[in-house]
Amino acid sequence: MRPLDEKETTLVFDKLYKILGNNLQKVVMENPSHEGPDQNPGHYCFRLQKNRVYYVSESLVKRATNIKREKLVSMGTQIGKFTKSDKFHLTIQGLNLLAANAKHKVWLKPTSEMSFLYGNSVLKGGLGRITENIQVNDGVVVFSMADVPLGFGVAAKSTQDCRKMDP
Amino acid sequence: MEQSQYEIDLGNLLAFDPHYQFPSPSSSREELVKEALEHGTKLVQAVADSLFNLPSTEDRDGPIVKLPAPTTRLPREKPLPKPRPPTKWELFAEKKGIQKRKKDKLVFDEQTDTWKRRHGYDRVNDDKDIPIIEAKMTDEPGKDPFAERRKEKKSRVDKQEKNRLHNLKQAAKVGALPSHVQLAATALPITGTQAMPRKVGKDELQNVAGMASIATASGGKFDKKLPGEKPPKHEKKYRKFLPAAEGSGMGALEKQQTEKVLNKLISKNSHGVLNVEKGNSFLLVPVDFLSFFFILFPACGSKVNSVLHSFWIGFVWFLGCEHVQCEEGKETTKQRREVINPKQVEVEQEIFQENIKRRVFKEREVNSMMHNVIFFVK
Repeated sequence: MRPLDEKETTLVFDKLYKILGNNLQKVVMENPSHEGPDQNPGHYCFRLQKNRVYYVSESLVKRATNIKREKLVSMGTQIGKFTKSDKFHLTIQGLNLLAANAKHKVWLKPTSEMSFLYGNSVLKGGLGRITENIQVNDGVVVFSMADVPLGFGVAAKSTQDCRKMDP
Repeated sequence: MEQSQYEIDLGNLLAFDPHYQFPSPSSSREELVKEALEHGTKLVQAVADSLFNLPSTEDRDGPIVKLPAPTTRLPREKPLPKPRPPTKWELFAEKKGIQKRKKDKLVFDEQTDTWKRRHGYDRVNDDKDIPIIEAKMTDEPGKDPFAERRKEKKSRVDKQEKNRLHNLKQAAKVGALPSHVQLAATALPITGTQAMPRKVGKDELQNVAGMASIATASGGKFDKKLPGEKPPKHEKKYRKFLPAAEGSGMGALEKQQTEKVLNKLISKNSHGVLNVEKGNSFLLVPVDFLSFFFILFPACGSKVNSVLHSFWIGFVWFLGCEHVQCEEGKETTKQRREVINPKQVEVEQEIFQENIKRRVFKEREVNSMMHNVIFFVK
């Protein structure tokens, strides 16, 4: 377990910024943690362990240092991993974090939920609601109509286009 | 009749007018160009005409013709290769009048009673085919006649190789190395064609010096240093990471690094102004309108100032919660509608800006604006 260096931080933040927008600042700097018996629980931070990036509360980090690197399996919330070619990919474990702070959201009709969960793209017919001002290639978080986060992805069409398009 | 006037070579798509003469040498450059263009057009037209006269096959993209073989002979790009100087054997053969004879590829081998190749694998008179060599009276005991045969063969091959290289060397002197040898010439021990030995650079020298300086039993620890000698460089990169946990969690350095990356990212993505002069460390102002707002702050009266301040905070909130905008939309009060419609907000902002310009601050107006925003943020 170690903190991210500057290059890695940039990669991680770049990817998160696509989905969170300016909320990233809130997630990184201001999100108070409620874990641990400490008086002053502190905030959250990012830690790298075996090429995976975790979003961990500071008090947990302090305790995790007791466990040696080979034995430490996981801690906090995994938000992504570095690939062998040193790219950063988001992973689904961080969905709750992303969903709570997402800038762009898309709600799916119940009929197309399963299709999305099986890995298909969302068609216009499956679109229940959509937030304003989504541009092409923005990161979006996908919800069911009951506001259950299902996953995240990249917008292929902007909100305007979605309105205009043929079904 | 026009075509007969030109010489047309369709293979090279070339037309030539042998009868044309310029009326005057050259009056001016422009006229010359014009003349050339005009005549060139005619020639190209002639080529095109004769192209369409050829028998064609119809294709999806149009007619396709097969060009005849070119009649004009174009000059060669490179000079002719120089003839190779005669080898030593060729000179000798000429002197003695030895003619080259064709020899059969296959020869009858008496040892195995079969036809075999003259050279190469499984050839006539091969060492492998001789099981027994009869001893002669002159043979010295303790010498292996088979090994001797092998040695002889090897010496003959070596001699031939030496001769070949000599001949190549002679050819290289005249500059007539055959093309297939030219590329590999530097690998051959032919003097004169070998590449010059490279000059040793400063870095290379330093590397060697560094290696030499630590090539002692103590790793160079107790060696006398030369004047001006630098300590050897590290071969490997030592990566340094921040501590995993420091104090109550995140260390100051890590916090600094995170903040730096975050600020860079946000300022890169916002098209607004970074408000540095005011010393508000967290305020990144994404809209021009707001920075304008800030600059005007001290100019306003204290009453308006406080109102504006609250408005300002409200607005920052508003920016933070942009996405709320479209999720709501049921209430129908006038104020509500005004805020929800983004265009309306823009219009309001413009009016507000105008007022700032004129420094007319009607408290009522500001208040209503504030209401709108707070309503919305709620």
